[in-house]
Amino acid sequence: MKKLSTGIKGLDDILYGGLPQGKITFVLGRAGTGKTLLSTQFLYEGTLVGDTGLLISFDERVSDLIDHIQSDHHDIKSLILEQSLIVDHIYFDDNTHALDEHYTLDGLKLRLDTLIKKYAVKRIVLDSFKSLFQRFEDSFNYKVELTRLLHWLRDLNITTIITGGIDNDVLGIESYIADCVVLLDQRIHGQISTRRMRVLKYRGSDHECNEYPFSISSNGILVSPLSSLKFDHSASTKRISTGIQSLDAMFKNQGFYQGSSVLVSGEAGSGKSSMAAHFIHQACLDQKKALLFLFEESEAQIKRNMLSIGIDLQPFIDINLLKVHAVRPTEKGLEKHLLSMIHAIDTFHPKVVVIDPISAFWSKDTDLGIKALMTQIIDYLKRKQITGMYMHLMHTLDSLHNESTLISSLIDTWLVLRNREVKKYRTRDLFIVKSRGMAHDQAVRSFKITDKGIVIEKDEPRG
Amino acid sequence: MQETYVLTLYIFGQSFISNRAIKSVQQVCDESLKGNCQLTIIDISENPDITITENIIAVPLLVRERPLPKRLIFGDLNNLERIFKGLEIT
Repeated sequence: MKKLSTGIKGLDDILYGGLPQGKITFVLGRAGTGKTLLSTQFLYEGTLVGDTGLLISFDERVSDLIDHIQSDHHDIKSLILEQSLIVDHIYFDDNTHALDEHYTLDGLKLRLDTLIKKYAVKRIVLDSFKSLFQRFEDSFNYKVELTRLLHWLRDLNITTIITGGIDNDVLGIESYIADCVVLLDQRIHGQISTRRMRVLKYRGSDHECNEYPFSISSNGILVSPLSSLKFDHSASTKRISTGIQSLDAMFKNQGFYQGSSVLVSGEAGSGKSSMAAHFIHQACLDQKKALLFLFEESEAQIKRNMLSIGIDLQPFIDINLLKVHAVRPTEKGLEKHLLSMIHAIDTFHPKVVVIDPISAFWSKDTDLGIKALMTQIIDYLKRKQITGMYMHLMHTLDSLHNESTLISSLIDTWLVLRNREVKKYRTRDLFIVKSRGMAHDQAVRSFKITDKGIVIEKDEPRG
Repeated sequence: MQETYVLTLYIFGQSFISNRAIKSVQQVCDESLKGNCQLTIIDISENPDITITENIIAVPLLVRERPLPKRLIFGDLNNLERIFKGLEIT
C-alpha cells in the first residue's frame, strides 16, 4: 500500500508511514481540536512533493480560512498564488430550501471535477462536510450522496481527507466507507488541558493504537515523537556518581548505572531537592551536561536554597553545562509540557536530566493517561541513555506503593527519604527500595543536611 | 401588471428525475403563470463551469431569478404545490 506523509512526523510514526494514497481518511473531533490544521498540513506536505491540493471549506470563507491556517511555517498564501493549493468555499445560498431528499450532489461533484481537471489535483480536503447541510434539518439525509461522492473520489485515485464532528451521523458513514480514521480530542483534567490523537482504523495496514499527545503551535501540529513502551533499552554497565560520596558508598562506591532511571520519593522537606542538586553538581563537575526541570520552584529559589548547603550551580549555568527550565504545571497544557521538555532534551543533549518533582503531574486526581504520558518521558530518556532522576513528593509511606506502581517498572533505582520525630527531634533517614542489577546497601541510614550538603552517617543503625 | 417570472432550472443529464422536474416546471410556467414566465433549462453536465459561477451544489435546482429576492429550491420538483410554496408564487 502506498502511503503519503502527513507532514507531521509523529503522526506518520503512528500511521506507520502516512495516510493511504488514493483512499478516504476521516479526521474526526469536536470544534477546535485541530482538524482543519491537520488536514491543511497534509495538503501543504503534498505541495512539497508536487501534489496539487484542493481545500474545500464548507463552513469558513476563503479569506477567514487563509488567516486561520497561514503561518510562518506554512506559507499558504504563496501556495495559493502559485496555484499548487486551491481553496474554495462551498455553501448554499441564503434563500435555498430543500424540498426533500430526492436530489443528487452532481452539482458539487461537477464542481470538484472541474477543479480537479483544471489544476491536476491529487489531494482533497473536504472540511466539515456536514456543515454544508447544517442549515437544513438534522434528519436530512445526505449520507447516500456523500458516500457516492467519496467512492467517486476514490475511483479517481484522489487522496481525500474529510473532517467531521464526533457524532453518530459521521461515525455511521465512517464505519463502512473510511479507509482510515483519525480521532482528535481535547480534555481538561484539573486545570491542565491535554490534546490527544488516536488512529481508530486503518484498512489494510497496521498502526499504533494508543492515544498520543499533540500540541498546536504557530508551526502547526506537533505530535510527541515518543514511541510505544517497548522494553528494548540498552543497559550500560558504566556508573555515574550520585554526587554524595556517602551515598555512592551505599551502591558499592560506584553510584547509579548510566542511562538508568532513579526515583527519589520523600515527604515535603525531606531533602529531595538537595539530593537532586548534588547529583547535578557532580554531573557538571564531570563535564556532563545536565538539564533540570523545575515545576514548583523558580531558578532563583533553587540556586539560593542550594547555596545554603554549599552547592553553587551558577558557574555551570554560565558555561552552559547546566540548563534550568522552571515552569508551572498549569501554565500550559500537559502535551505542551511534554513536547517542550522533549524539545529541550533534543536541543541541549544532556547526559543527565532531573525532573523536580515528577509528581507535579501526578496528583491523585490526574487520570491514568497523564501518568502514562509521564512514563513516556522516562522511557524517552532511557532510550537516549540519559540518566534520569525524578523527585517524587509522597504523602505517607503507605501511599508509596500505590502512587508509584505505574512507573515503578521503568525505575531502576528507588530511594526513599523520610522525616521522623525521635525524642522531640526531627531526624532524617533514607533507604534503597530497589536497585536493579547491582549490590546495594540494605540498611536504613540516617543523614543530615549540613552547610556542606547531605551527609549520610556511616555507622550501621541499631538492630 | 405582475412582473414576469424568470426561472432557471438546473438538471444533471437526462434522468427520470430530470425529466420529471422539466415537466412540472413547464407546467407551472404554462398553466399556473399563464405564460408570464421566462424559463431557462440548463443541463450542468453540458456546462460544468456553471457549477462554479452559479454555485450549483444539489440538483434538480429551481431558481426564481425574478422577481427579487432570489429563491432557490432543490429536491423532487414533482409536486406543484411545493414549487409554488418554495418559490413563493402567489
